[in-house]
Amino acid sequence: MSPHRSFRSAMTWLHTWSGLTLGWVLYAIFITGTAAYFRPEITAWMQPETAAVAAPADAARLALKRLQEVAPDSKRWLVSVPDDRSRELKIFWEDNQPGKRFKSENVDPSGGKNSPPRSTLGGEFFYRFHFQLMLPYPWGRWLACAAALFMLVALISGIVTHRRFFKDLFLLRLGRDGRRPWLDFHNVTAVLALPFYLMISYSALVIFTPMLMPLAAKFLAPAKPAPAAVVGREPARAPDAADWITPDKLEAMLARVGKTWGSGRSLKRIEVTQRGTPNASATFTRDAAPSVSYVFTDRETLTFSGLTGLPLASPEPPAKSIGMRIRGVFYGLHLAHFAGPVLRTLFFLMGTMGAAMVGTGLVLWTLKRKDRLTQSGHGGRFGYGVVSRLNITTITGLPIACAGFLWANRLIPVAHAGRAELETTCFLLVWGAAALHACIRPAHSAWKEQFIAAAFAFGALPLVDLLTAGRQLDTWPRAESLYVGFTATLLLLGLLFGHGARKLAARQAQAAAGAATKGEAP
Amino acid sequence: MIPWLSLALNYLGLVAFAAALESHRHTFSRAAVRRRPGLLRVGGGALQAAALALAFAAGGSGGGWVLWIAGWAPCGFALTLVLAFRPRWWPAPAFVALALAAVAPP
Repeated sequence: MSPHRSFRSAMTWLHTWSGLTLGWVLYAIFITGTAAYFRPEITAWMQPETAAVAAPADAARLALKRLQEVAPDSKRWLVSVPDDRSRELKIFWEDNQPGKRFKSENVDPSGGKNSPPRSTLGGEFFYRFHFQLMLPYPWGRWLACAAALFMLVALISGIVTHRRFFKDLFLLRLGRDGRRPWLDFHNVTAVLALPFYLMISYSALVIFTPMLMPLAAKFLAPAKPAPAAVVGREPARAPDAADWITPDKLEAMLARVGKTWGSGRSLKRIEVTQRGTPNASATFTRDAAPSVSYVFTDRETLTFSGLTGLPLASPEPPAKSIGMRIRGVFYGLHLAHFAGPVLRTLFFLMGTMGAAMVGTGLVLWTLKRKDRLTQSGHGGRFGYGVVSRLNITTITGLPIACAGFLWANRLIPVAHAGRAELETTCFLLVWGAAALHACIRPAHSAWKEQFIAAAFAFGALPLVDLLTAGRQLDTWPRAESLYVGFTATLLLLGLLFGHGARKLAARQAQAAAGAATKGEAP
Repeated sequence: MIPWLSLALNYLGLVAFAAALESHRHTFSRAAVRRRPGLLRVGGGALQAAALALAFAAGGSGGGWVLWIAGWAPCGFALTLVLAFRPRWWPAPAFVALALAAVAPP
């Protein structure tokens, strides 16, 4: 880069390369993160067996009963209880083998009204992919953080680069030739949701501050509370059979929890620790009142002694530093747990706009490079080829793979062993096939064919759902809003990709006709 | 219901701002609109303030800000698409938001 370049052209260079370098990773993060806003809803759709759900306390009883059957001698039990959005009743228990790994199982939350729920990662798959990128710990998180940092740089340099920031607001000139419609679309999606992008990229870095800046973790960690006065805890002694907290013992605690918390915000989690020892205890947790700020320790808990069944005095909540409070607000904004259905939908739409912004930015790079190649006639073909294939693999290949993941959920037999892992394998296989297709076909054909494939993959999914999960139709009314919303979204995605395929075909036909006319000219 | 009403006002506020912009003035054919960009900006600001007030009523102080700012992107994008394809249909997204407000649970 020449030292005499103007500030704006330096920022243009920075915007181009910071956007391109990790653009594909960023696109994948946007797509999966946007889907993760509806994580419980996706899980519910992927487990159609969980149409009927018992009340939280009853569901908890079912889970504890199941834990007693599968892990009677485990030292630690965990139960994740269904709530307003989630229908998943999941149990975890610590393996007594060396290494103390956790095992988990889905439990029918209806107590026999439904068939056993199928094993699936559900919406959790998109959520985990969003920041772990299916890479081993901690490399996925580091890569996601790097992508967030590059995005922040691209956003700030983009603001400087964009000459007509307000003048061209709401302007989309689709009738123009060349790069103009792409540039307008890139600008419109970027400018309109700019506060969201700034918040989401910065908050991603704030969330991972303890990993990125270990020294700062000291200031963000809550102060360790002084050991609380424990009521009803006996002095240390040798363990005996009475120390094993069983579902019968937990029953009285559940009744007390119901009495204390009433019918408002419901029970979310039960944790039984140190089973089989005199210090065994059971902790019942519910979410704090909805707030933009998200701090894990804000949750309300009730803890009982496993020995006496009496409540233990809860320790004072740890004092929060200014740093913790600020991090809590950014964390809450990023996760949007506080958001109701309307706001969550707005976040979903802005996430989609973010993916469109990144996608159009990547396409713009290839269009610009293509123009230069046409003018100069040589050089840079390899880079152009790599970027254009990666664009196809990511921009259309990833949505096809996501649809493949949902297809696998419906087509793999419910009782198939290891079906959750198989769903993930299907996702990777479909994505790999899309990459291969993008490499072996000419770019213009690959774009069109993958758009058609995506339109089919999403558009036909409701039909596959009807044919394979049709048994659940008798419980349709209860699941109406969720199923109708999900199905409508799938159909809309199918239509959008279909429209894209049609536009691409028309443009290619127009270009071919133009080339033929030029060839005929004397 | 209230979040949808806030979104309807948010959208109308953006329409007023767009009408005051040089690049969109020709879209709104009435001469009265074209001659009063200042008034349009004030009107847009008033509509945005009303949208913010409704967002506060729906989401409290913290959630209200988020709802109001989050409304700009989808409303602005809807307005962009309307202006690009069917400029005469500019009130349509506001009617959609009102219809959703009517059917949404309280």
